[in-house]
Amino acid sequence: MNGRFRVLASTLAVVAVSMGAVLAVHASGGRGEGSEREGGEGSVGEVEGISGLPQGNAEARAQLAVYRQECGDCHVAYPPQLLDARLWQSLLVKLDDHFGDTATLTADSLSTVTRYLTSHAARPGSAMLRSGGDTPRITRTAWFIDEHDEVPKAAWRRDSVGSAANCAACHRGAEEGRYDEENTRIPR
Amino acid sequence: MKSPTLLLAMCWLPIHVLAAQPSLEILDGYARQAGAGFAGFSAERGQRFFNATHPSEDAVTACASCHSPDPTAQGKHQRTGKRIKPLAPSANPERLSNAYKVEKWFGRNCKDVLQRECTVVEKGDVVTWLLSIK
Repeated sequence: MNGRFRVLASTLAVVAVSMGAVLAVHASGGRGEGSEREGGEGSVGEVEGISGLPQGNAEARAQLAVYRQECGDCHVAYPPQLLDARLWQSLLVKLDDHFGDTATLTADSLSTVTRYLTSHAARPGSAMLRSGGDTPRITRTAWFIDEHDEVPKAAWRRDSVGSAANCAACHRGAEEGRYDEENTRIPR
Repeated sequence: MKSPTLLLAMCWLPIHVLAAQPSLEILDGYARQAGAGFAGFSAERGQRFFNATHPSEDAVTACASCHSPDPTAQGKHQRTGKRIKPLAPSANPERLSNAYKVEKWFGRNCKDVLQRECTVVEKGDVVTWLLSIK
């Protein structure tokens, strides 16, 4: 009985350790929740249903909190992976004229938000930039227009929607950076 | 009178509680900044200021454009359409509880509506009005 128990225990231990190793390797390959997987190029499965704002470690979580507080009141906190770092920078240097509004930040907040957005931005070759994104206005990028090509033009002007910049009007998880089709509904 | 000390303590405590309210501290701060000759804030003036329209090429011509003339109602951002929670603390207890946020939003929004900073009296008037709303 003792012998068999020992064999069973050591077998289980080996299995557990190997599973742990596999999981550890898998986890370190990613960049936290909701970010695109490395090396993905144009695969529809990755781009569809952005699932959460990147917050894979304590630093990212702290930065995200600042990003949401400083940038998530007039519009939803847009997922950083929707633009590349260069485009984010172009926005962040002119927050005194942010698409017509004043969105200035303190030096500290600006630095934190910049770090968060640029470190989780879309990488070259990512599907978000497939048509050579050159506008920092997310709703005018080729990717955005493509993703929303089935939305009736008139829907954008409905009172319940307001504007294309108002993601949460249709995407119920937008405040948390989730845009899955299941929780998407165009209001009347 | 059994104990004048006890009576004094009973008066002191509520004063402390009142003084600890962040919104009143914010108002206090504005009053101090207003300096000599300051005659006090006015809720009525604050309401008028909040609703006054300022000519501009923008859609946002008054505070009320986004925040609604009724601060207990939900507002709506004039550009993005995002819903804005009510401004009056009676409808939204988080409001006016954080001096940093109050100053941040006055800083941004006064530039948008007035193309200048709001004066300390204008800010104090608006805060006074918001606090007066049941």
